[in-house]
Amino acid sequence: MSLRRSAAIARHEIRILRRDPMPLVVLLVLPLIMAPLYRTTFRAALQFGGHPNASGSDYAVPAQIAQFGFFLVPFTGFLYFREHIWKTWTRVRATPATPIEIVAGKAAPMIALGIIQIVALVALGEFALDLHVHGELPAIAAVSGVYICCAVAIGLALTAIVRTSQQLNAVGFLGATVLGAIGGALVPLSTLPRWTRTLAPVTPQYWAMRANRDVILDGRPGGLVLLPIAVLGAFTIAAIVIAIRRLRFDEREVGWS
Amino acid sequence: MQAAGVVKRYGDRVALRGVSLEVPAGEMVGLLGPNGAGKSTLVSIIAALRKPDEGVVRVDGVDVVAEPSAARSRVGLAPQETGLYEVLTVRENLAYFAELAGLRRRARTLRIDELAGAFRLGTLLDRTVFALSGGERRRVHTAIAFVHRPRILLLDEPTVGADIETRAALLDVVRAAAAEGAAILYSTHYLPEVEALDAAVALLVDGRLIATGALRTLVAQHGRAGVELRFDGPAPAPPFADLPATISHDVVRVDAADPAAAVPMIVNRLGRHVERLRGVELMRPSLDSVFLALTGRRYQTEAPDVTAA
Repeated sequence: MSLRRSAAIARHEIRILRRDPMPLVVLLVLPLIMAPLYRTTFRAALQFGGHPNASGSDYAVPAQIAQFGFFLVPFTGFLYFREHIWKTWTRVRATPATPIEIVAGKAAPMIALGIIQIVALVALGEFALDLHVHGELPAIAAVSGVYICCAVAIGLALTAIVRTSQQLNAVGFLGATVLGAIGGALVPLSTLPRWTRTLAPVTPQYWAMRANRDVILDGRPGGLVLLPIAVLGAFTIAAIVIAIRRLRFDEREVGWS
Repeated sequence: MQAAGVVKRYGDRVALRGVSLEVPAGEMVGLLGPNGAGKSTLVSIIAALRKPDEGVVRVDGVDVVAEPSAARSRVGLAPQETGLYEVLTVRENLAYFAELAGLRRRARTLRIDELAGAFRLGTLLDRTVFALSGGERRRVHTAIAFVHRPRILLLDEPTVGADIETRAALLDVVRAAAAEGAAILYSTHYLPEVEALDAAVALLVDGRLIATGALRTLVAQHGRAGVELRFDGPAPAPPFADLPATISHDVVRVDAADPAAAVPMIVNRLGRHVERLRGVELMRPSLDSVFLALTGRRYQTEAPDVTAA
């Protein structure tokens, strides 16, 4: 594997992002707008649920990390469908770059984008939204890092399954919203029906929320994030296995339909 | 480039049936064939984008199945469909593929300047692809195939939709690349381009190579002169027992060693059908007539023709 070629692909994707920055706006700016908006709602819900000193940011920030981080799923897929729309896919495959190098090169900017999003949200919370991290920051970093990798891997798996960009769009964004709701990223799980709480652990958002909530809100020991990290890691591996089994580089995807 | 016994199937359909072809360094081969003949499949196998079901393909001595990445580094491919990054500049498009091919920064800069001259892109380098015309895009698209000085160039219909200026520029660059030692496989529907390049010819029909060789040799062996008559409505049965003729829908093609001299005699013999005559064309021995002689149909004609003696 050539790191040089993967780096070239990553730089190329960043160059395109700079020319067409709408994904940056969605992934970086919108959660910064949403976190303050949700803060008062979450504060009331948390105080009602037994956290009288909660600022609301201690739930709003993890919730936006979980919700908007998962939008990396469709954005990862768009990196591949865009190649089909611009008819450059054959061209890229005709270079010496191997499939692993191409996947790594495209994943790297998405992972970087997710990390920037998390840092921006935590910074906004700390400096402007009265966020107090009661636990260990490295634990948040570890969970969030695995969560971002999980979202990018699921994006790759989804790319391997869907056949059109419309399918990717629908499944990616609607799926992220529904899974976010079930996983507790839109409203606290305690306010949802009981069956939702039973279903929640099948979503990556639940495990990200649970870990961040344990660390940020409850200040529990960092070691408690090991289970969420393991589960998110399992989601990631499962997605990669699906991608490896289903992704066919010589297939012609449909750009628009 | 050497291909030996290449077979490719898509389900029940056999796209290539034991194709063997060699393109030595410094030579140009025009890969001809009607739509669906298997040209693009063959090109994609040589470019290590698809695996053959049977047979062996080597580019610059490298097996494309065993070492696809190494093989691709030796091949420059211009696919049939123009593919460029719309929001990037021409320079950025060229630089990206040069970088993936392993060219360092200084080498990239020099090579892009060279290609800008050869493909007449000098004033376009810093323009966004989105703002280019169709012909300009085609030139950039094809230039990318040349960016790493590949040993083998696979140009799949490089002039489709191209304007006259673009076509002339492309043919000049292809000739220059061959002169520098590149092996060139040039797939096209435009027979005059192969004639203009004076390339050798490989004729692919229904997944089989039915003829290969130097253009002049093939034309000398199979090319036929004649007169082509086009009618309003179905062509009549030709009343020329002494001259072999071919009927295809509204066209009758009559073989004649001296087509110009034969026209008055042929038209005179048409009788009442002369009223439906819409055009007369003199056919010289050419690739077109080679194709007709070998396949019984005009180039790009999908339906089999009825041949009369």
